[in-house]
Amino acid sequence: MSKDKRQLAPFIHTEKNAPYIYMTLLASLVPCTVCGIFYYGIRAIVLILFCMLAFTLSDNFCVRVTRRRSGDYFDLSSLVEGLLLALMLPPNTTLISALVAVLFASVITKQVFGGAGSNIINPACSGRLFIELVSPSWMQGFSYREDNSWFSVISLVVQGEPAKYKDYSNFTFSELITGNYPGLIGTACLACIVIGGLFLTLKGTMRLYSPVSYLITLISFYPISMLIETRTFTFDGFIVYLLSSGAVFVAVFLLGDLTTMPSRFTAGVFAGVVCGILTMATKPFLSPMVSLLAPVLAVNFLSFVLDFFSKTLSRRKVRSREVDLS
Amino acid sequence: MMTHSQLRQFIMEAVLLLVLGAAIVIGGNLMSSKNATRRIQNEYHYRFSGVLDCASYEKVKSKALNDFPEIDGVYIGYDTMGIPKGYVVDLMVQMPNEQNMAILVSLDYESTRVTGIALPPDTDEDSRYISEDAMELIKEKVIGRQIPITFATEDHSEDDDKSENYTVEGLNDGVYYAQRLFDDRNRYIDYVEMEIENGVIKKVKWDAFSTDKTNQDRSEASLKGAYVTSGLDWATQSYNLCHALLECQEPDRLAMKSNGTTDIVDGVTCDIRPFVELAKECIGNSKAGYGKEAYMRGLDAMLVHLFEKDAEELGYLNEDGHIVFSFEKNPEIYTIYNDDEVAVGYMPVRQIEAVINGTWHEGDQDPVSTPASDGGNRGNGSNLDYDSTEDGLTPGGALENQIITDSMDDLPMSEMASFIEPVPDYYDETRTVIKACNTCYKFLKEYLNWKVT
Repeated sequence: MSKDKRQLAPFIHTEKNAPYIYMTLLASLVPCTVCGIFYYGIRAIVLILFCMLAFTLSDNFCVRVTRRRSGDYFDLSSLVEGLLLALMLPPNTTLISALVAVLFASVITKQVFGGAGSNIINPACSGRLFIELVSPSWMQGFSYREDNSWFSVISLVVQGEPAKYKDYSNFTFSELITGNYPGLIGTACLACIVIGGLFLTLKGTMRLYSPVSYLITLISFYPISMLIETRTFTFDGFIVYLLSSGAVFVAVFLLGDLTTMPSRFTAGVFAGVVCGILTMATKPFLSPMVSLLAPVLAVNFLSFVLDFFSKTLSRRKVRSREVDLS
Repeated sequence: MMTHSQLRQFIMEAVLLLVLGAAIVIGGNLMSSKNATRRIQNEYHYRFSGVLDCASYEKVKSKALNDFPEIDGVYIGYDTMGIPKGYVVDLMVQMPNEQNMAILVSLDYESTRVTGIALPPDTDEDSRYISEDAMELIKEKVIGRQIPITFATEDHSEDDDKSENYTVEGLNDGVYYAQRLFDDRNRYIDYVEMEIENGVIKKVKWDAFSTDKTNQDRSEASLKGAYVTSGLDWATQSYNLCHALLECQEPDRLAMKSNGTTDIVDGVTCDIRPFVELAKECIGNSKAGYGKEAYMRGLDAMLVHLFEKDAEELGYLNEDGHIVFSFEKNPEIYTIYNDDEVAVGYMPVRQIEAVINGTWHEGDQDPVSTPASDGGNRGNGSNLDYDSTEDGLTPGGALENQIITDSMDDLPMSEMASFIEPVPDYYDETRTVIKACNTCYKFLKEYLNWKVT
């Protein structure tokens, strides 16, 4: 009889089951959601609810069409992905743009690969990147102060003129940390993202290897990237980039994902480093959002390969040790 | 499967995170908003101080902007007391060579004359299609002009002295006031207050207070629906008319018809006779140096003459300092009769006071208001050569001036307020600046609901 007592899912008995993980994720996104609603009002509420509802309906529809068993629990992953996607949208996004992103994320990147827990790449990330590539002008609906109104809802229906706030260097750190600047709905407030990340870490539903290694890599390679892009580098510029680009949000909620990121330490660190290098390497040449999200998808694709090799390597070490002992 | 305890715990944690998130966001917003406001004002100041130096600026939010994609933003500048000084319009204009150029135009808040023109300070050197020298020359031509502006052609140059920045001659600076000596059927007494600076009418206010002290002023009552008139609410009509006077500077140019209405100020359907008469009286007072305080003393003198007590003793002063009394029962004090004892006009307060004091001489200049039944609208002090008995004709008199013969920047020539010569060697540049000014005019016309034609 084999001495190996490890068993495969679904026979693992743990408190951290799928609903628990998804609920924890939902809870961790609450501060970012509050921030988005506080600054952008009704249209943020509508976009968030719309994305969550559309994602859920799309997932359920696909499950019914493919007659796949959805499990004996309510699949909260749709709500998480919908919320995550909504938080990465500009506040003045039309519902039709959001729907395109949701459908791509749900159908192409999630259900085609087998649904919740089986997807190779992060659906929310892919949906957001898809819409950014298909029509960048749809994703330029930012608003700030005089141009911003809590009760404005017209942008949900009519695509307005792209409002670009190119230069964030005039914003103070307190504004950047608290999200008081023209950013995406949920990625602007560093304090809220950090709270969400701490919560996930405390609950054990986020692996820190990839996010930490990713952020360290960004810090290390940012000067080189800036020298290539503008031939200048300032520390303030780096802080502004880190706080305003959404990199911290990506680190916490996309690279900390249990499904699409490597599960082992070595692979996780390697994935984080690769993602960081790719981000900095593409930053001078691609739009900010594409250079931020495309590397995440790239390491998502790499994850199972990295996990496979790191497992093989560790087994070889165990075997070699056994040989030595004998 | 999720247990009840897990669900309970999740809800507790979510609520906790909600409270924490809200506290951070609200606290952070309070903490950073002051910085944000200061930073934005600094940005505005850096950008706009070249055309309009103000203590603070406020961006105008208006649906009218949707119709003007070339306008990047419109701002109102305020002084340290919070009083509006003017507008700054940040816009992009296409030059005759089809290159786009950013330009800032500032306009006086009351008269909307051009007060400044500049290229934005952050404009690239490559995008500065107007050289500094050319800009200085254009500024000399344009600043101080009433918008809209066009080039003076041969036809127009003959009328320049009449239509370009027309002002009434002989006006003394100061604040002048006139009120009707009798109330109307709604028991309102109309008054006009006029401020004159550098010989130009800068501010005009037309309102009416009620002889019933418990009632609101007419403008306030109209906004609250207590005073109803045909067309737009009376306050808006009053505003439009005052604005029209600021533009034309001369009550006769409002082309009041014999029925007391005008066709040339759109949106004004009410009887403008009280306004025209009181405005003329204010202008007469200005020429005579008879300021608001002197006017009030004149009214007091009338009361003392009739009742041997002044307004304060009689309790006729309201909170705003107006003398709330209708002389309707004492028409002899202000009415001018002909030899047949038929009323032919009203005396202004200045004349009445002089008559009471015995200092009036028959040969003195006398701005006479005519009773409504008279049907006339004789201007006084107007040096315009046109027949004012013609209903609704604008000054210039000649019929061809009433016909739209041409247009510039989609504005008919008849609407143009100023005519300038292009700067020699810089025709395209001057044309571009004029286009910017006229775009500002078109926006403000829509934004402020101007109806001046």
